[in-house]
Amino acid sequence: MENAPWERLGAGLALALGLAALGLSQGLPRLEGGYPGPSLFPQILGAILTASGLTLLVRKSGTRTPAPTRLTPLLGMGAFLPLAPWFLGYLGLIPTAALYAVVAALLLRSQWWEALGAGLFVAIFAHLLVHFLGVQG
Amino acid sequence: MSLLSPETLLALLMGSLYGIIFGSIPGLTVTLALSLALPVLLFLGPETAVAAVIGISAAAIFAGDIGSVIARVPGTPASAAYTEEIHDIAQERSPGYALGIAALGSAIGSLIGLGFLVIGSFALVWLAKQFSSFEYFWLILLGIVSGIFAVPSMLKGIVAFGIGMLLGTIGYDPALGYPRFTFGLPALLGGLDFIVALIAFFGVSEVLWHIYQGHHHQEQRLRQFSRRPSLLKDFYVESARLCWKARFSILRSATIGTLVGFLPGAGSDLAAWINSNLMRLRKCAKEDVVLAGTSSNNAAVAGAWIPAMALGLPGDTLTAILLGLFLALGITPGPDLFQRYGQLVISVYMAFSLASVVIIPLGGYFAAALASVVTRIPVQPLMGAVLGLCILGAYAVNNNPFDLMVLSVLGLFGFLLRQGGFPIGLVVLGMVLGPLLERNFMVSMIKTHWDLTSFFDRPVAIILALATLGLILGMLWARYKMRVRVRVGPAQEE
Repeated sequence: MENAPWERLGAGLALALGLAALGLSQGLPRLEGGYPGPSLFPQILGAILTASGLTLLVRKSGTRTPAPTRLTPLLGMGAFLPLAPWFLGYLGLIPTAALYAVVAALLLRSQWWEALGAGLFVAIFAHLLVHFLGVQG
Repeated sequence: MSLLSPETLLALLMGSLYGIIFGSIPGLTVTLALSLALPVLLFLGPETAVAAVIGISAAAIFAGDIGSVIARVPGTPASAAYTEEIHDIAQERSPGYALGIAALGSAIGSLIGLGFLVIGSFALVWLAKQFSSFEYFWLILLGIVSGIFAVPSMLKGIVAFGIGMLLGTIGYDPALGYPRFTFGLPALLGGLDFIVALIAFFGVSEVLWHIYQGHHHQEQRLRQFSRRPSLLKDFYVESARLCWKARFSILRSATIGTLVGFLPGAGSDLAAWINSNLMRLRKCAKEDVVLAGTSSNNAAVAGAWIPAMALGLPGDTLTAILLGLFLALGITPGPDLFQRYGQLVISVYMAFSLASVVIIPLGGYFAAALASVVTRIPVQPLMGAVLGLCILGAYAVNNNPFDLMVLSVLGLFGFLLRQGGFPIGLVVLGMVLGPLLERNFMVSMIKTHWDLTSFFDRPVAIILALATLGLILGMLWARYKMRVRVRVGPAQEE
């Protein structure tokens, strides 16, 4: 399933995380006697990620697949997902879980009644979870 | 009360059903199942309570494979090691066959683990005493190295591990307790919840992948299922045939699984990762990878009971809960347990064998029947429901809305990495092994005032270090030879 743009994006993510780890771990304290402390591991990982990310970015890319045709729904879900805590605060757990089930099913081109069925199943299951297991709704 | 009393058998059966339900739903872990059952178990007699605990843990570890088969979402961390393979088998052959392999592998693994629990406990306890932070460091490093070499692109394996291990550094530093990368957010002080990350990387990324790819895979999937109508044959006959063919491999995996399981802190997750990675390294078939993983994680459950019963040391969170239950019931685990509560020890052995021989194969068959029905549901509403359950499961772990933000971010990371061909299983493995590696490294360094040679002072540590080095050199050599062969092949044809 891999393709060049996504491989580059993955490499970019590794590079960004590596650089962030290197930068942010500068402020971490050292042990008595000048020995490395909590910063040691993040620095090693940061260096590995930066080097690997750079190598992947500059090397010849992998197999190419046809251009994406379903990018808009993906971006839509990508923007909708981080709103979950906000919906949870306003609607509560059961409606939020059901809402995400319905929206995902619709973005997958479900029939409306199938999407509602998915939402209803999740709502019933969530209700049982809240009722019997004490999850705070 | 004997194990064959109706109350105890009922507790074993009910515990297994409860375990299957919890194990099959991502986010509802076996640990959560046991924690929630404790208030009820305290009112039962020791033997009845222990039978229920064994039923819950053995069935839940197996049931973790159900989510993998249906929606590529492992129900428990122990199933994450071979999720890709078992899901592919379900797609290519049938869910019944995939779950048959998992159930029989789990049952055999559990029985082999029980054999070790009964016969070899004293020898294994002696071996566990040889393990200090140095040996643990090398053992974990061996797991990481085998994971990196097990994937086609070593560089992508390193990136996946690196990202997972970096995510594992968020929160209090395991050696000194200093907060890292928390950005002033109290919710991050305890680190990223592993279960939430598991749901994000396997569940949310799967839904996003389906949204991006469209639904053309569904029609192909349904055609494949309609070609294989016999669940009974797939579940028992075909999988039993495969298990017989792979009997030595299962024996080896379950033995390693038991050994890993009895090491405190290692647990069934690590057992499954090590064994399935070993099979991938040997370029074995997907069925062999699944059999190795599923037999070893169930064997590790029995393995974790060895130090818990003999020394009173928990091998994992499950046995930690079990020890709490023992103490609450007025039973002190340890060497005295075998003398003072001999009947209880025998009950433990009997409950394990009943769970392995009867409960897992029978419960597994019903689970396979259910999975065959569920996989006939069109993929669009199924994936919609999976996302709803991901939201539910991620929140249910800690009742914390912040976990939903973590779920979103890691789900997007997971999708991006998956599209780029990065093995997301290794990201999850990195999150488990990273903090363990760091803790054991830092503890060893602080103990020896940063004397690196101390990692080569102890015999078991030297053996593990040599095994790691041998694996690295051997795999680099094998890859080099393969590359040369690929280059020479076309030239010779010309």
